[in-house]
Amino acid sequence: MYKAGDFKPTRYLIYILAFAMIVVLAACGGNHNEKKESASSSSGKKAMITFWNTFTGSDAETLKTIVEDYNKKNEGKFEVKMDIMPADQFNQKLPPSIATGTAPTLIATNPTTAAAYIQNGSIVPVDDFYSVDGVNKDDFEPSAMKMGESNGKLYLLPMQVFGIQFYWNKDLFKAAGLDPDSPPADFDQLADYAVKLTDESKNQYGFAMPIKGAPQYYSMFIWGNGGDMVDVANKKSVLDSPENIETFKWLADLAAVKKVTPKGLNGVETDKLFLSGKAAMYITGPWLAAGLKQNNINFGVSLPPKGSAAQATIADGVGFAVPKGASEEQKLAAYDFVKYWNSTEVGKKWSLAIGFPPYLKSVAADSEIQANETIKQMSNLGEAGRTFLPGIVGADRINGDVLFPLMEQIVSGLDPVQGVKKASNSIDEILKSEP
Amino acid sequence: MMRSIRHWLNGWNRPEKAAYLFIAPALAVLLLFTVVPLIATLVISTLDMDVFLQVKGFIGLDHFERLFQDDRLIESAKHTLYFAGIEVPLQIILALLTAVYVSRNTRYRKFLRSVYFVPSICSFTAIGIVASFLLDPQTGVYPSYLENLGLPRLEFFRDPSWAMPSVIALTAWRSFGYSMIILVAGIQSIPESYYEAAQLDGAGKAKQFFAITIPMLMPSLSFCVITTTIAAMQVFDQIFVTTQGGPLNKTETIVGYIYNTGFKMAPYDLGYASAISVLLFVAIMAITLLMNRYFLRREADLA
Repeated sequence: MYKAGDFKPTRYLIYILAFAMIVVLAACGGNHNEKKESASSSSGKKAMITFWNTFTGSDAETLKTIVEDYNKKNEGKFEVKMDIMPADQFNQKLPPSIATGTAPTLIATNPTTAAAYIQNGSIVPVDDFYSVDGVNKDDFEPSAMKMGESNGKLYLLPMQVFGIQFYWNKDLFKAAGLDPDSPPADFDQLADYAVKLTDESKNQYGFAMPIKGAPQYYSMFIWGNGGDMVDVANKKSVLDSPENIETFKWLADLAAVKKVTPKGLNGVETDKLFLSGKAAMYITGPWLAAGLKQNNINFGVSLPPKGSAAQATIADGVGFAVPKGASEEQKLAAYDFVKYWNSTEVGKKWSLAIGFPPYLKSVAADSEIQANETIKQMSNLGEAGRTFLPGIVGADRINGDVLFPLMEQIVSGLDPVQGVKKASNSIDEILKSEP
Repeated sequence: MMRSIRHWLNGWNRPEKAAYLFIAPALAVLLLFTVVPLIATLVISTLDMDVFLQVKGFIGLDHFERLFQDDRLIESAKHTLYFAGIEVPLQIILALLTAVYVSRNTRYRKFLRSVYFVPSICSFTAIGIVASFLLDPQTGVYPSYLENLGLPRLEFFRDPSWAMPSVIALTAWRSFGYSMIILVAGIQSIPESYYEAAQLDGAGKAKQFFAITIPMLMPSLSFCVITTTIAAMQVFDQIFVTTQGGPLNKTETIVGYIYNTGFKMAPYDLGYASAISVLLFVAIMAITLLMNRYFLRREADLA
């Protein structure tokens, strides 16, 4: 047994050691804080712009070179640190990062996803961007600026604007005895062609219908036949209207009875199918064009076929947004990169490389852009462009949890009438929590 | 000053007090990562709150009322029970049979023991990704083997009725090694004399297995069954990596649904997700307590 009060050198040694460790540990923590502070207060030296986006496709390479060029030009002043991640990861990481004050300075997202962030004040208004020195407001197409507008304020600055397009493989059309230069004019012709172009023995499909992770292509069939998904003004589902039930029956017949599509593919897998020449017709965004050219696929692009009531497609886009918590300096730094992105030179580079339609008047007027057939086709949406559930906070959830699962059921041969009724109730359930 | 510090330190240096110091680090971890989140979940489940940590108000038990009208929750609960109901027996039987075989200490059987144990040190994420490649209907190896054998080309993770069995098989394959190691240790501690006595009485191998091995193994076996059941009720990673709850939501489990509700996309309903977590917590606790009581009684009967 120890006796209290005895002098024990070893014991003091242990106390000293313990004390030293506490000091060292505290110093580690302290160091960390200091580092963080110096990073944000070094506005005089270099401003860091952390930039999150979801450009995981073939467009990432071009995006990276643009960011590298920017960093080289602004060495010592600004630096963009870009983090590209898949959309589901982005949607999962961003909210907690905003809640804990560790959000990036700049994000790129689409208006549908942004609705929730706008509604709860997680991204800040960016109206003052257009008064930044060197930004020419008149160069922007008004529609591109309007894309980021909500309740009279601007939340998204244009990064790209596009419509969802109808693609067809000309070689497969020729092989099936169809005119390779004329896409189907209406839905009936689409169904007719799809059957002719399907050849199960060759693993070849007439019309590819993904069941998740793709643009909301089903909505152009709904709109085309005069229906809609949601009464946006009254926040009520109108999915189970008689015309929609007919539309879904028709889709079910096409997918499950005529078997013109493989079952259960997501967007990336369907892209691959079309890129490898195994699908004859497909509806998706302009990003596919670059890959098709690379793979030497002889393809055509047009607006989707007409329905019984209208010709419709989705007008969509991606915009820059600044999450809550960014300091005024960080915001200005972010604006500088957005300004660079929206310069004629960069806009032209992006359009030519990826095939995106230009929204800057100076880029649209460029001779090289005007000579490009694909871009010309992609730029012209006419009257057909419509927005998917504008301003609805739960739009992503309605798309991902109800409408795509409905498409999945339809493609795998379940009863469309029952499915539509159930989906309509689920939409109303989601809309209940709309502000 | 120095005296009082020394006095204070000496007070803590007595054996009965020092014990608290020794368990303090473990207790702190438990408190910080288990008790605090548990209480937080209980509190959040009564709030209208999202992942942005914005509280829109206290709503009492509204979330819990919603639980019982939620078709998707009921479906996911069915899937979870389907998973647990097949995976747990499968894994335990597999583990028990292999454990009996590899429990003798020959070099070959020791080698087999390691081989069976290897999958359980790999992460489910890695295993899930590799399995998705191997079982891919278009490009996978196994569907193509099946075709070469003249059998139908199964779509495994893509087929609504095959997806869950595929996940179950994958989970049993990866996890049975862990249960097996525990059972091997249990078998090796059964005295050899029991078997000798049984042999003298003319008991065959099967009789020995059911009359000696199983009863003597009850403590290890009950531990394996209970921990495996808890893990099965919380199944998430392998499904998240392979099927993401699809096709047709046929593999969406309760934890998957919690994730989808709270974290996947807007409106990020953290309050409701917490309410489901609380329900799952209560359900697992009830099942565990019931099983524990059953096994304790069995052990008491056998003793």
